[in-house]
Amino acid sequence: MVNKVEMKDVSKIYKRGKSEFRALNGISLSIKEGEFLSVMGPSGSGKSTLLHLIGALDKPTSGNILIDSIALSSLSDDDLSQIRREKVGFIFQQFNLLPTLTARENVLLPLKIANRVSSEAYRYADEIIETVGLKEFNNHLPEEMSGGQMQRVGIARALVIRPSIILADEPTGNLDSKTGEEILNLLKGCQEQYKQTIVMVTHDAKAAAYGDRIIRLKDGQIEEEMEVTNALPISNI
Amino acid sequence: MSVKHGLLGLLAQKPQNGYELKNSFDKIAGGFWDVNYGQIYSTIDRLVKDGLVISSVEGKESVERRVYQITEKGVKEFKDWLDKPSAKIRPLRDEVFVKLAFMYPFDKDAILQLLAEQRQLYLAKMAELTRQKYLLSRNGISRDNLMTDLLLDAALFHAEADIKWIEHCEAKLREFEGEPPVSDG
Repeated sequence: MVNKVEMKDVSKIYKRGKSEFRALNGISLSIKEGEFLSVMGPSGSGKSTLLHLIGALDKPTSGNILIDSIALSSLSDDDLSQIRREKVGFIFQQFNLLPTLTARENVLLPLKIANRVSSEAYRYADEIIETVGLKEFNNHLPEEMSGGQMQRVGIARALVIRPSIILADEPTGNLDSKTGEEILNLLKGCQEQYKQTIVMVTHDAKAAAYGDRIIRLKDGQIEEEMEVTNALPISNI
Repeated sequence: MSVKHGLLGLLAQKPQNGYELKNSFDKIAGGFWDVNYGQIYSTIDRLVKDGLVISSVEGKESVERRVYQITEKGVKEFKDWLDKPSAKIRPLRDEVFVKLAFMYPFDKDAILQLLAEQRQLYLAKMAELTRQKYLLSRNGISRDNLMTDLLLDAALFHAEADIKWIEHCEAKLREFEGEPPVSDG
């Protein structure tokens, strides 16, 4: 199995004046292709920092991160933003949709930014819009949609570039439990259908339970790690 | 928690033998409420004694089977129970509570270790239940499996509450001897 992400002894230190805050403290972690990894931990344990570093939104203070075997430390800022545009799909707790764009326009935006506006790319976008159950909402603005529908747009927008990895930050944090379940079922379905690698940060055990593997951070280190074993592999059902 | 009323409800659907009752029980509550044959038979014996169920032997001698059938009194008992809300909240008789109560002298590390292991067990169970729920949702929730889905939900919510409580304990215990709390960031 190919590793989509490799982290080798990664630390991140934030300096505030003279004091230092060690957000990540020597983390090593491999994320396999097609894996759904849940990252748990209390506030301040380093969950968000981990996600930002994998998503090339920030650089580690020390250590190496590889996405698709590309070492991020060797890249310039321009190359890093290209990695973000082409390899990483983000899903946010607050959805982060552009309010003046329709559902479909929001989904297409990453393609436009990455300058991948072929008819094949648009056809794929429409397939994804259908997969996430948004076909009827193509022309709706975010303000005309429910939270669950907005997060469906968020998932479609993350998938549209065929990312190497999807990074989801508390994707159900703003949703009621029933809608949250629908969104997580959808995310799990996308993992299955598109062999999509997913890393999800959450403090919510019910959400984390969707992962194939669950790690728990504490004080910037991996405190616990659990493979979800005694479950049947989904493809066999 | 009532095996008694579960069995009455199943027998109200149709007469069954012990083996069938066990299977029916597992079908509606399986995966998070383990009932063994011993419990089934001892409960059934009591139901028979109370006149809520009668038993009869069917089939030829070599393949005879004891079949249980609900009585009118049993149906009434079941319906009365079904219509009333449940006044009891979940009792705090979880083994973990008892273990904590006996962790003496106060050994913080041992308690934290126990809680961490317990939390992982609950999480593993949640992952298993979630997998079952996901498979149900993939097949489409119908009238047949809606109740199973809702029972799985109940088990998940309870396990989630247990995990939240354990995390709460962990945070309080860590702070207890002056270890500074982790700052938010």
